[in-house]
Amino acid sequence: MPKSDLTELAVRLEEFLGCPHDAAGRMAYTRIMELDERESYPYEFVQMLRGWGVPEYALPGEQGGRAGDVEAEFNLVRLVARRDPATATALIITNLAFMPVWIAGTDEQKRRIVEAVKHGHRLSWGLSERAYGSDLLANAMTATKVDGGYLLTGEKWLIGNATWSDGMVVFARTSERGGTGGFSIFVLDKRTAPVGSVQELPGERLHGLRAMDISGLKVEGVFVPEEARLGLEGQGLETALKATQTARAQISSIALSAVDTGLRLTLDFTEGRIILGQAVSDIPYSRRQLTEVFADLLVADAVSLGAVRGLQVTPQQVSVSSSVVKYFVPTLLERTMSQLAVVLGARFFLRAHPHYGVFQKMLRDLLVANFADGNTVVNLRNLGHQLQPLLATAQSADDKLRAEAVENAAVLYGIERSMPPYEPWRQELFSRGRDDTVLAAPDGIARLRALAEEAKEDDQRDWLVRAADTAEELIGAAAPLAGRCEKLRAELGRAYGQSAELFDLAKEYCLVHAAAACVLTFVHSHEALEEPLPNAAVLLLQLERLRRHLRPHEAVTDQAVVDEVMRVLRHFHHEERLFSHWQFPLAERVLDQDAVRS
Amino acid sequence: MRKPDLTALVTRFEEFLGCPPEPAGAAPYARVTGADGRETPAYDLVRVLRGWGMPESALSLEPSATPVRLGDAPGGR
Repeated sequence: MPKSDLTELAVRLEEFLGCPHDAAGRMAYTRIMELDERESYPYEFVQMLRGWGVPEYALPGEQGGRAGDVEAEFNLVRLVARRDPATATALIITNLAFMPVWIAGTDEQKRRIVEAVKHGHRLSWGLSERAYGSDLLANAMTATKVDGGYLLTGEKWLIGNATWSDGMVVFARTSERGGTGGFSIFVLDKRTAPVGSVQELPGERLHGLRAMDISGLKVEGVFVPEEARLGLEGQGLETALKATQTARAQISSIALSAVDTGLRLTLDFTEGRIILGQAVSDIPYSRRQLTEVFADLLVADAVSLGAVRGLQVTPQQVSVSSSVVKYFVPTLLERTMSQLAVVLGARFFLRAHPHYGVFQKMLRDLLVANFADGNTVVNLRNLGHQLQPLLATAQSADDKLRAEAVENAAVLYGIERSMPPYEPWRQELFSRGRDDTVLAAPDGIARLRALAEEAKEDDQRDWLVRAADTAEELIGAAAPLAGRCEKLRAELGRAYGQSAELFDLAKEYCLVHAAAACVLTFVHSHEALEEPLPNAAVLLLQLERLRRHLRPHEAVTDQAVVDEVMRVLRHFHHEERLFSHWQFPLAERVLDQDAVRS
Repeated sequence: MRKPDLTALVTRFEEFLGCPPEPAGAAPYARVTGADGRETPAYDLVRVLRGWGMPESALSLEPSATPVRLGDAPGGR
C-alpha cells in the first residue's frame, strides 16, 4: 500500500476514534481506565473496531478479506494500542489465530473461516499448555484418529480470548511418539461441540491488560471432523512455528504504542511545568532523557519496519528478523519506559490522575510484549542456533550476495517501495545464514557518507559523518563477534548450544542488526520521509543509544545534537504526529488544561 | 551489634513471621495481596510487627528517648 494511502487509512481511523483524552470520544481514556480497573472485557471497543473493519486488513484478499501489506494492519493496531493495548490485543487474537489457516488451510477452509470472521466469529489460538509453556514438542493435548475425524483430549492454558471466542485453533499431538512430525492443527468449533464437552477455564487475573480474557480450555474426547484439520497430519509444528513468526514480528506494535503514549503524556507535563524559571523540557538533564526516549522509539520503529516488511520481502529470513524484533524491541522499550517514568515523576504512580493516570496502565500493559508468543529466552535461543552461519555469511558474502541483500534492503527499509504479496507459507524456519539487514549495512553506511558529502548545512554534514562513523563501529562489531562465537564453540563443544554466553552473543547480534536497521531506514526512506525527518542529529542519537548498550558512559552526541533532536520531538508533539518514521497525523487533541496542570 | 547477634535477631524475626506462602503464618502473602487488591492499608500486619517490637529497633538511644535495645522488645524474646 503506498505511503499516502496508508496515511489516509490511519487518518480515517484516528478521526473515527477521536482524541482519547476527550471523554465524549469513541475510545476515551476515562472508559478504558474504568474497564481496566474493573477487569472487564472491552466488548464495546472490540465490536466497534470490528465494525470499522480493522481486523479485515489481516484477512487474505483472495478469500474475502482486505489484507494487502502486513504493515497496514500493524499500523492500525498501533493506533488502537496507543489508546488501549488490551483492546488491541483482544482484537488481533482472531487474526493471529487465523494465521495457521492462512499458512496451511485449503482455499475452501480459508473462504469459510474468513466469511465467518467477517460475520462476527471469534477465534483464539490454542498453542500453550500449563505444564509445558513454550516447549511445543512436549505438548500433551492429543487428537486420536477415529472414523471421519479425531477426538481431542487435553487442556490449553493461558490463551487469549479462550472463553470469549467461538472457536479455537488448537495444536495437538497426532502421534504418541511426538517429535517434529507428531503434531497437527485443528479448528475446534466450540459452538457446535456437544454441551459440556468443552470446558472454559477460569480467567486469570492479570498485572497488565487487566481487561483481557486470558483463560484456557479443557476438552475430553471432543470430535473434530477431518476437514477441520489444517494441512497434512504431522505438519502442525512447522505451521505453528511459521504462525508464531508472524505474531512475533507484529507484537512490537503494543510496546511501541505504550511508549508513544507515555512520551506524549510526559511531554504534556514537561512542556507546561516551570521549575526555576524554565520548562522542565528545557532543563538539560530532562531534555536529554526526553530525546533519548524519542531516539529509542525510532530505533524500535526501524527494527519493526524491517521485521514487518520482511514477512513479504524476505520470508526466507523471518526466523532471524522476527526473533530480533521480539527480543529487542520489548526489552529496549521496557527500559525506555522506566526512564520516562523518572521524568514524569510521582504522577506516573497515580492510577486515578485525570490526565497522567493512563501512564501506569501503559507501563503495565507494555510487559505483555515480552512474554507473549515466545518469550525473550525462546527468541535468543533461536538466534543463538543461527548465529554462527549468520556471522560467517556477514564476513564472507560475495559481491552477488551483497548486491541481492542491498536490493532487498532498499525495499525492506524504503517505506515508499511496493512489496511482493504476503505469502506466509513461504516463510522458513531457518535463514541459512542470510540476514539482508546486516549484509546490506556496509552499503548503507557508504550511502550515508555520500549523503554527508551532499549535505548543504555544516551541522547536518558533521552529524552524518559522525553517524556513519558510529554505525561503522557498531556494525563492525560483527567481525569480532564471529571470532568469539567460534572460540566459544571450540571451548564448550556440545554445551555451546545451551550456554548462557551464546545468549549474550545473540543479544550483541541484535545490536548490530538494530544499528543496520536505523541506517538503512535513513538512507532508503530518505526521500519519502516528511519534515523534520530525515534528520542527522536524530540518527546520531539513535546510534548513540545502541552504542550505550556496549559503552554505557560514553557519548558520541553533544548538547547541540540534543537540542536539534528536541526541536524535532517538539514538532511531533505539537503537530500531533505518531512518534514514528510514518508520522501519521493523530486525532486532534482535546485536553483539559486543568487536568494537565494538576 | 555484632554479626552473630544480628543473625540471631533476624532468625527470630523470620521464625516469628513464618513462610509467606503459608496462609497460617503471621504475615502471609494471601493477606498482603488481599490488602493490595482491596487497596486497604495492611493495618493488621503493621500491628503484628509493632507487637513483635520491630519499630523499636529504629528508636533513638539518645538520653531524651526511652532506651530500647532490639533484644529487649517483648515480642522479640
